[in-house]
Amino acid sequence: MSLYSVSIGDIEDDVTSYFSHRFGTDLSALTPATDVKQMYNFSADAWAQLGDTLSGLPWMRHLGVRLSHPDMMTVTTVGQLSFLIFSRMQHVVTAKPATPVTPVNSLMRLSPHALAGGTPKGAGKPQKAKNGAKAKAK
Amino acid sequence: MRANNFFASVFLTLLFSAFATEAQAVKGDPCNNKFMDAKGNLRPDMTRAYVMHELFDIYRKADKHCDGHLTEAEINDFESSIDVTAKIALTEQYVRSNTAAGRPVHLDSSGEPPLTIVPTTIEPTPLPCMADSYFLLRNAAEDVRIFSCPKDFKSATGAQFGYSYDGVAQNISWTAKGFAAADFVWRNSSAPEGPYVAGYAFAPWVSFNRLTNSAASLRSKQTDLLSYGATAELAFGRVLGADQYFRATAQVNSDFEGDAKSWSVTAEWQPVSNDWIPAISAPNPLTQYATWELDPIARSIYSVRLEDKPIDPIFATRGDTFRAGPVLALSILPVHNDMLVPHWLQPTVFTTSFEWLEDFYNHRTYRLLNSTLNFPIDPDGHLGVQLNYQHGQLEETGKRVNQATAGLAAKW
Repeated sequence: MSLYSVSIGDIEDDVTSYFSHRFGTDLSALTPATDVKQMYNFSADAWAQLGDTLSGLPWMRHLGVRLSHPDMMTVTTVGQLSFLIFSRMQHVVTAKPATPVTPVNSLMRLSPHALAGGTPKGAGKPQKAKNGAKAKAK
Repeated sequence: MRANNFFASVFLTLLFSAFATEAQAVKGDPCNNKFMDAKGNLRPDMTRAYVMHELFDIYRKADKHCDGHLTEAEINDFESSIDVTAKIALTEQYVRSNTAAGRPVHLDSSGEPPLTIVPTTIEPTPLPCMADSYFLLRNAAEDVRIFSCPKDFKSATGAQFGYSYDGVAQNISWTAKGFAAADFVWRNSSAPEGPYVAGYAFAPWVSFNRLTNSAASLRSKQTDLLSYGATAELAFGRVLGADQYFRATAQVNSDFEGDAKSWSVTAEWQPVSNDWIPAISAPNPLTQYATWELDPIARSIYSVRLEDKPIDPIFATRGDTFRAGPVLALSILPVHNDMLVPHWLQPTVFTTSFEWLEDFYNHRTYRLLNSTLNFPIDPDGHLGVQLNYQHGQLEETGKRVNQATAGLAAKW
C-alpha cells in the first residue's frame, strides 16, 4: 500500500491555481481570505455548479473528494474551500510510518495548469509535504 | 393646514415582517453556566473569570476550566486546535509561495498587508435557509431559487398595511401592498458522477396592491390588484456538462372582488456551466480586471385576456397569445479585489439583454433591447451615474418603448 501526504497548503495551492488559470489572476491576489465567489461575480447557480466542475478536476479525483451543490452554498473563500476539501478527505493515521510516505507533489502534478504544460504567471515552486500533513491511503 | 379647523391625519401603519424559520446561532461562552448560581445570578467568586471572558475572546475559546486563568496546557490545546492550525497553515502557504516567487508580502506601517491574508473563518458558513420550507412576507415579489436564500428579513422591505384619515378631504384610506409565498425547497446533498436531480423549488404565492378611498372624489385613484400563482424550478446536474434549469410560473391577475382579468403561464430553460468554453451563465475573464457572463434563456409565454378593456398590444387581434424565443443577457463587471481594481470602482455594472419572442398565434415578433450602466464617479462613493436604454416592445404588454434615461445618484 502506498501512502500519499496531502497538506491543506497543497490543497490551497490547487484551489488558487484553478482560479488563477481560469481568470488569469496573479496568485498574489488570491489569499486564504479572498472571497472568490464575490471576486469573480459568481451567481448562486454558477457557484453551485462549480462544485461539479471542481469535483471533476484530476487533483480532486486523486483526493477522492466530491463537492455537492449544497456544499458550495456554504463556502465562498479560498480558506473555506480548501478546508472543506481537506476535511472531506479520507484520512489514514498510522502510529509509525512503516510505509514510506510519498508527497503528492513529487509525483506528476495533476493540477490543470500542469496538464496545460505550463504554470500561471508568477506561480511559486511546488511545495514539499509539510510536517503533520495527513496521509491518504491509496 | 389650519390647526383650529384641521384634524391632523391619523396614520396608523402596521408593518409586518416575515419571520425567520431558522433560529439564529447564538455566540455563547461555554462557561456561562459556571458564572451563575442556581437563580441565574453572577457568582461573586466567579467575577474575575467573568470579566476576563467578557473582555478577551481568547479566554472564551481557551479557558476550559472557566477560572479566568490560562494554563500552559490550555494554551497548547488552543494553539493546536484544528481551527488555528489550519488558518496558520493556509497563511504560511500563501506567504511562502509568494515569497519564493519574488512577491514578498509587504506590511505597511500599521502592519497591514495589501490584502487580508489571514482568514477569519474557515468553517463552512451555515445557510440561513436550511429549512425545507419557509414562509415569506415582503413588499415585492422575490424569486424562489434552489441554491440561493431569500434576503434576510431584517434587511428586506416588509409588506405594508396602512390606514389614514384626512379630515380636510373627509377621506378614509386603507392600503395593503405585499407579496406572500410559501417556499418548498429540496437540494441534493450528494454529487453523483452521472446526470442527477440537483434540486427543486416550488412556491405558491399571492401578490396584492389595494388602495381604497371613502371620498367619492378620490375613488378614481384607487388601486385594486390581486395576483396569485405558483413558481417552480427544477435543476438537473451533469447533463451535457452543465446544470440544466427548468422554470415555470403560472399566475392569474384579478381584483379583490374576484374578477379575473388575465392569466398566463411562462416556462424557461437555462443551462449553467463552468466547464463549457466559454462558461455559460457563469463568469469568464475579461483581462484579469473584469469578468463577463452570457446568460442564454429559452422562454415561452402563454397569456389569456379575460376582460374587454384595456387591450394591450399583445391582445390586439385575439384574446390569447403564445410567444416563444431566446433571451440573451450579457453582463460585465469588475473583479472585486482591491489589489486589482480600486475599491470605489468595484460597484460598476454593465448589463444588456436582448429578447426576441415570436407570437405563433398572431404571427408577430416582439423584440426588446435593455441596457444599463451603473458607474460610480466619486472615489468616496458620493456620486454615481446610471444610464439606461430600452428599445422595442415590453414583454408584459407588447407596448412600444424607445427610451433613454440618465440619472445621477448623490448622497452625503
